[in-house]
Amino acid sequence: MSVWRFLARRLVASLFVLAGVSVLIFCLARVIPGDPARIALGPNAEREQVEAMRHELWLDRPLAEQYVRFVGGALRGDLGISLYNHRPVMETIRRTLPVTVELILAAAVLTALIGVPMGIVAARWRDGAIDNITRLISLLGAAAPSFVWAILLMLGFAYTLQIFPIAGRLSEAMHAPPSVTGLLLVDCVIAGQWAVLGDGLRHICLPALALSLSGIAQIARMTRANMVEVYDSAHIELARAFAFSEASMALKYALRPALIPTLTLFGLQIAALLGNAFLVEAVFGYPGIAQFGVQAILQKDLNGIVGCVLVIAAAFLAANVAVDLAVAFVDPRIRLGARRG
Amino acid sequence: MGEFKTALRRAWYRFSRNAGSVVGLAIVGVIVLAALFAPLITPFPGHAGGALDILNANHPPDGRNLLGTDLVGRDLFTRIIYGYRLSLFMAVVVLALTVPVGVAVGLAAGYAGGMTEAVLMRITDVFLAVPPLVLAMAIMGLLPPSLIYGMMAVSLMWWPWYARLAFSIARSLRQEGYVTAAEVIGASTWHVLLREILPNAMPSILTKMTLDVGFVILIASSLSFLGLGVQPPTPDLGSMVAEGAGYLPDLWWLAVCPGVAILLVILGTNLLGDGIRDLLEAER
Amino acid sequence: MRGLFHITLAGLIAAGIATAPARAETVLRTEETAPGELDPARVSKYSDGMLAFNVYDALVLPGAGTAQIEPLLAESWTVEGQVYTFKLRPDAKFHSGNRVTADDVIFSLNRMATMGTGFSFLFRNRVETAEAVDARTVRFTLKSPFAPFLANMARLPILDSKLVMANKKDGQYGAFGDYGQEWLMAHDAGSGAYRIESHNPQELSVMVKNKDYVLGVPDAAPDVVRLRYGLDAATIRAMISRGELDIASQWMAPEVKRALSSQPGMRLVNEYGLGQFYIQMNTKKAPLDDVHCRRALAYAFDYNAALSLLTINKTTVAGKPSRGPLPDGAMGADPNAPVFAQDMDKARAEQAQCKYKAADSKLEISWIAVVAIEERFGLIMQQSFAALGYPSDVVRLPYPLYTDRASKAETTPHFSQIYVNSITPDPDAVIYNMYHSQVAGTWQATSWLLNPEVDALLDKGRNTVDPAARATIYNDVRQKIIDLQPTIYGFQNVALFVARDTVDIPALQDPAKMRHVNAANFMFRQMLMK
Repeated sequence: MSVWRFLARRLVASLFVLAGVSVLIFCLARVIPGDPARIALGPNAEREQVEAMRHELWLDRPLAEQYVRFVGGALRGDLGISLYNHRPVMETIRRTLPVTVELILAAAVLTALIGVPMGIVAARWRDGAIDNITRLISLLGAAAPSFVWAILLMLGFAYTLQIFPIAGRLSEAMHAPPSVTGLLLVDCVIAGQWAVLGDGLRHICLPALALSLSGIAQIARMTRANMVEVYDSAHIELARAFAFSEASMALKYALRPALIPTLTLFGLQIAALLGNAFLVEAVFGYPGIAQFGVQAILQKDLNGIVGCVLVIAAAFLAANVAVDLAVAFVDPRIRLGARRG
Repeated sequence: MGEFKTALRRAWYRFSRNAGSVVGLAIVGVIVLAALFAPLITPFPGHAGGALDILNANHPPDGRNLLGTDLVGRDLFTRIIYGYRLSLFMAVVVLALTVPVGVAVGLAAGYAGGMTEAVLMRITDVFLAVPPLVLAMAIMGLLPPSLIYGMMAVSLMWWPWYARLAFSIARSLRQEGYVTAAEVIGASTWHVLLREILPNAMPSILTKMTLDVGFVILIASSLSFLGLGVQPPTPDLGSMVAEGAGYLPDLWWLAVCPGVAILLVILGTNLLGDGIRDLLEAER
Repeated sequence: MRGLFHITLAGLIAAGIATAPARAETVLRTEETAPGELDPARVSKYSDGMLAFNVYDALVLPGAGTAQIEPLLAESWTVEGQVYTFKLRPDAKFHSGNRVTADDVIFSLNRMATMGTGFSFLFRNRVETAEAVDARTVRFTLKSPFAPFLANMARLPILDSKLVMANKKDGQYGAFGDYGQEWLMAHDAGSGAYRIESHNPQELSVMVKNKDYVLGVPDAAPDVVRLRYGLDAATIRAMISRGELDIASQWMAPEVKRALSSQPGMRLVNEYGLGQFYIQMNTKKAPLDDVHCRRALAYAFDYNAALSLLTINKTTVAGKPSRGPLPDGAMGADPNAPVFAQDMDKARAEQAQCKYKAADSKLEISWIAVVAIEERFGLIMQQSFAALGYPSDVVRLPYPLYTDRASKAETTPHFSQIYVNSITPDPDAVIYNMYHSQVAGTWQATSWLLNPEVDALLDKGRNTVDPAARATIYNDVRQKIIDLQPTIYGFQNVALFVARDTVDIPALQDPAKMRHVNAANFMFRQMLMK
């Protein structure tokens, strides 16, 4: 199967799933108690105004009619007006999603940078002290929800040791460069604002670490398992006999085969990262989509909730397709389409 | 009887070879016992609810209050033990609700194939397309906050994973000789599903269940951390962390103690789950 | 790469030289809850009020240290029955340079009343005719006498109608399009002491001093104000400790205020006489439909325990005992009336006269999800009521669910906790919205009193123009309500703000300069940077 046909098939399947998600969340959002029109108007609204607002929001129409109108709008990139901040939901999402994406990317980078070497080291000195420490770290990493890690890291590294800032995305004195990509750190590099970049990096460290701990644990375990297999195999013995250096052996024989399962695991991790980002952003006051999402949920902002869930689902599906493509790219022997979901 | 004893001893031998599994068993055992006998072992059983002791509010951990007291003077140790009670109860209920439903859907889809498979598995895909925590949050945000709805929301996002698992097993077993043989001799669909396929799927399902106990606790506490789910003054580990987070670093014990409590219980169930998985895999 | 770096650096230095001001620019940094609503017709929260009082001017201003009304855009006014005539200042200008005219006033009132959001209930269905007698004179004829009208005008920001109409989009208001709603969410059309430089309702508003302000702005007032929104507790705390914030909002927990105020360079400033903490009792639900049970519970409530939760240190408490429905200083309040305090003997005596047995009824005590301290008040109620033998549940309600349940007497919880703050300097705004049958079922009127005598008095208070006569009416209705005890009067709210020593805030430091209206003390032109 060609890459294009594979891509097309995955995209069509994703669209069907997305349509299903939209029906699911849209119906859920309309059957619940509490009148969104009253909430949108504020606490002192009179009954007639509430009725007028209900009419304006189409809340007095049948569910199917509401849904068709919603889909019509969504296809044009219009997710309605937020009942909470009275702005187009799309505008808020466009502004906050890149912040969350940046945090997740940083977490992914940390996962790879810490997890893979940890696995290699553990496998090389198997059952030694380092291996046991690594095991303990990966056990603990997987054992606590990210918000617990966020709080422990905050207390340890921000409040007590004061190595990292406590919360936020940038210091008050720093001003973000003009947005090109929406990703602050990338924008800083483009604009050449190194001081801001440094400040942004310092702010992103703890949230990204809290977010990546469970992933680090899994990647380290998987890398270790793969490496152990490789170290036991014959060609490593041969390589050793030819006096290849340890590092180049690890790179050549162990890392490459480990890359594919690692990528696949990343695909699975994205769901967890997207969900946990909500918690970590809440702890660190990181101004991503979660802040809006949580407010939308608490304020019963129908359009906001539906918009956030749909966009997150779309991002998740897109990321999965991307991971599949990456896997195919890394190893063309893997038959496209053999992996599903 | 003797044979059973030997099998048990062999299983224990395998299990206890791994120190982690034994530690896990010990942690889970202590927590389950503490939760079960909470009224007997906690120093202030009355503090599990909405008790008030304002004069003793915000005390750091000491001899009287092992883990300190909260903002209204309740003993944190007592509340954490009662919080365990709730977490374990939720995990059991969620798994009891989701496993049968998910397995039924998965088996039906995997065995029947065709349209049934297409419809059931696409529905499953829809649920799996939203990151589980996000879906549960959205649902919880829309429903009135309560323990029941909390468990419903977590259950709603949980069954698809079992459907997926049961589906893949059923699909692979459909072509197996003994299944085909049963079909040939005219066994009913029910017989094939329940007597031939299900028993073979059980080890995988059981393994996933033991590992999932910790995961359910993790998700449930994440939801209550965001203020969705169990209602105060019922002690809940996630909401205790959320409340305490606002008082870092002065009243650090408010967030750290329940946070570490969550870490412990999940660590215990993960270790135990790993041990049981090794055991079941070795038996096969 | 290195080349690029050098060029950028050179550019930065050049830019720095070009814009360096003669005197260092003073910046005031503060924070409030999100979103910050800039559109005057959407003002309802404290943060919205802060924007409105600085970016916009109303015709009048709530008086400093008194219940009187001060002139602002109007230099004088006359009240003849239901005809209000305002004479505008000749020199007032909007930020656009346009003059403030009578047409702008009429436009602003119509816009507010038509849109129906925010404080529009103060103006809706009141005005029969509004006419511009000349460019500087505007005359309102009301449908019926309505004494709070003058005080309410303090909450009507005057918009630059030409600028708004030039920026209108298509919308539901006919010739007025969308009434400039979309544009006004991010831009200002005001005449206030500060201009909006940038506004993002979730994150930050930047305001700069209006050098041409009609009343003048002192040099010491901040040149720039940065108002942050929606920061979480940890961030606020870190920022103010590091000196990145000058004033923190009142919503921090007492424990955090205590920890911060003992740090060097920081102090607590306060604001009181604006509002109170009330516990509404649903008088349509057993056992609270019997006044004796209500009184018993009001006597049983541990007022001191509630205040002890609000105690910061020996000298500072975020509340003081309440004397009834009206806060001290309001028209009709009696500064010598006894304060409410726990008295278990009286509680038992009242309980004995109640037709219900305490143990037979399970009480539902609600608290609003975002206001964490209400949970603790709920627990105090639970403990207090248990002393009389009442079993109870403490229930957290998210705000949307609370307003929904409050809309019907059958679903309204037995107890609902509300903070009511004066939005105008008139007692009507507090007491009418809590007790009149007309508003029963809104978030603050959850006692479902539906008492014809109280209604009649409240209506009379509105229709009577003479201030002395009004004071008597509000005194009467206050006593009548206390007698009916539909509410447990928890405490008078004292809002505490942690402020750094970098800024002097006379309005929050000197009672004679304090204005008893929500957010009116955050007029930045009256703050002085050091």
